[in-house]
Amino acid sequence: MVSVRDAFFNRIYENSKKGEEILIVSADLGAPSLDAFRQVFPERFINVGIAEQNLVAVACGLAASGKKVVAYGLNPFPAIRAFDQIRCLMCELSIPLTLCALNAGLCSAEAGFTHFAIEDFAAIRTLEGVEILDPTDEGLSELLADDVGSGIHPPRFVRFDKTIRGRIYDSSELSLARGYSVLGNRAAGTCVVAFGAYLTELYQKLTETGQIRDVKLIDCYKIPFDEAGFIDEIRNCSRIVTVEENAAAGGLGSLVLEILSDHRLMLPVKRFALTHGLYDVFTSRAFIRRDQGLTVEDVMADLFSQCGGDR
Amino acid sequence: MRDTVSNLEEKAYQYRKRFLELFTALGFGHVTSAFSWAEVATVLMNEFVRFPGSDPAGAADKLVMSKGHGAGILFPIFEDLGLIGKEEMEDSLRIGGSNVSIRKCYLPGFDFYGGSLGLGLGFAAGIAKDIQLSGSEDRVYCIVGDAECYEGSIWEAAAFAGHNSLDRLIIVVDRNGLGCSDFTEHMLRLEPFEDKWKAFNWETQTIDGHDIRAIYDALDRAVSSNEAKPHCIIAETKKGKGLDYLIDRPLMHGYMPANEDIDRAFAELQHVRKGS
Repeated sequence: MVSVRDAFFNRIYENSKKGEEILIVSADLGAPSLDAFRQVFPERFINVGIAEQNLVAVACGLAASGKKVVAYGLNPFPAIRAFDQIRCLMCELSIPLTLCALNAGLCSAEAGFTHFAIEDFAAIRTLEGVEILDPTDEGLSELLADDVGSGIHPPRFVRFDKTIRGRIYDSSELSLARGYSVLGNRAAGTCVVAFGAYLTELYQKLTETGQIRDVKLIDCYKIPFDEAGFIDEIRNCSRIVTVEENAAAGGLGSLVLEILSDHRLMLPVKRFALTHGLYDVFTSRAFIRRDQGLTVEDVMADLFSQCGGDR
Repeated sequence: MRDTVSNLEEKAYQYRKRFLELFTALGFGHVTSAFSWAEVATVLMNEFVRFPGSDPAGAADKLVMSKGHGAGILFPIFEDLGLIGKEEMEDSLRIGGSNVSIRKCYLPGFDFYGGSLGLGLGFAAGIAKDIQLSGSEDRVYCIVGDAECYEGSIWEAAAFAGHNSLDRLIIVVDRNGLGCSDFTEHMLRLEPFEDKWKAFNWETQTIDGHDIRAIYDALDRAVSSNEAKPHCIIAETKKGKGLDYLIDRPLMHGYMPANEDIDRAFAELQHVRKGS
């Protein structure tokens, strides 16, 4: 069992050994799973230094020239500092670049506010034609890595949460075209919409307690997802709960509310998201979740105390 | 040189004139930025850039217009080179006109809007890295504004290109000495400008950016160089060259002649030409 980040780079390495010519452009960021690639294909590992704007620009130049390219930097810097490069190059020219960012939400919260990847989702989702991916499963990372080799995928921004490991899906359950997968009880009235670490943690907890039978859990691992299919999934639910480690403004909860509004669906929505990120004390992911009532237990309590589940 | 200096000088005049026709009709443009590098554009496009399909050996150069505000001077050149017809250009270059026709004559790399300054050099460096990895004979040209060099991303890209010895990358910096609001050396010194590029491991030249022969020789030295370095040509120019009433005047960056100024601009352009 490896992290979703390492599953991605392991597959890139395997595919490279099979003959795929993939370039990795890094902003001074490595990974255990990258060591072998760097050793075997040193000319294909291009380090631009801690320069995220140049990371995106150079990677776009390479990809626009026909190379198959993965850019790799530490979130939120590739998204926030290099937003203009993403907007005017990757997005405007529809460049098939896979821009990978290590960190999603609060997984590096110990490093402080600078390393909170909590606004990148809202920022990138404003960009037309750019996909945001939050892998929750090694298999999803492998699908993405395989797609790099196609050279014809949409511009992609991938957020790797370093704490997510292992597999929760059969490969048949994953679909990059659909963009989401459904876990739990498809007939349940309460629907939880999440991605990333919350999705995996909630799934684990719900499975352990057996309460997975009482909720529908939608993993929105790709934004934008198949909206029509998503609407069909939630149309008959009585209640929706969105859970994310993003700033509430523009986050997944906002997206769900927009979709409901656009489709004139009146469903109660409870949003679990960050209301603020500025602290004058040292923090951690667990600390902030506790502070803002965003622990998995808080979510579980909300799911089952209000409605008692609605199997 | 395939053409003569006097013919290229005449072309530069005609390009400026045609630019005025096209962009006064559009009602929007950046005349000073376009005119400052008109001679550079004339020499570059007529003498050096190998368009896809034009080179017997198969080379196809790229052009990244990082200094996007000056891109308009290329449109008359596209016309002159036969890449787009007069009527098609005029029909396209209007509010609501399709940019597909114009884009089809763009060189590879030129199809992004360079108006967000500081983006183009990194993009060009990526293209140059691809050329290096592929071992092709292509070159990538990149046009950078001097005031654009306040963007930190320019120096991120400069360091990358220098470190990686991207010798198929040739940039021309339009050193017109003016930003939008003030002279560069007043608001934030760029000098010693050439030394900065040298320090980033670039081969450098500083030339008179309105002297056709000097521009040709500088580009020729860059394409003929055996130095394993990217090439930076600093073209010292006047922002608004060709319209004396605009020269050395800050706050003219977004200026486009309108109403009675249009006749004045055409008259001035002809007057300056006669005096040159």
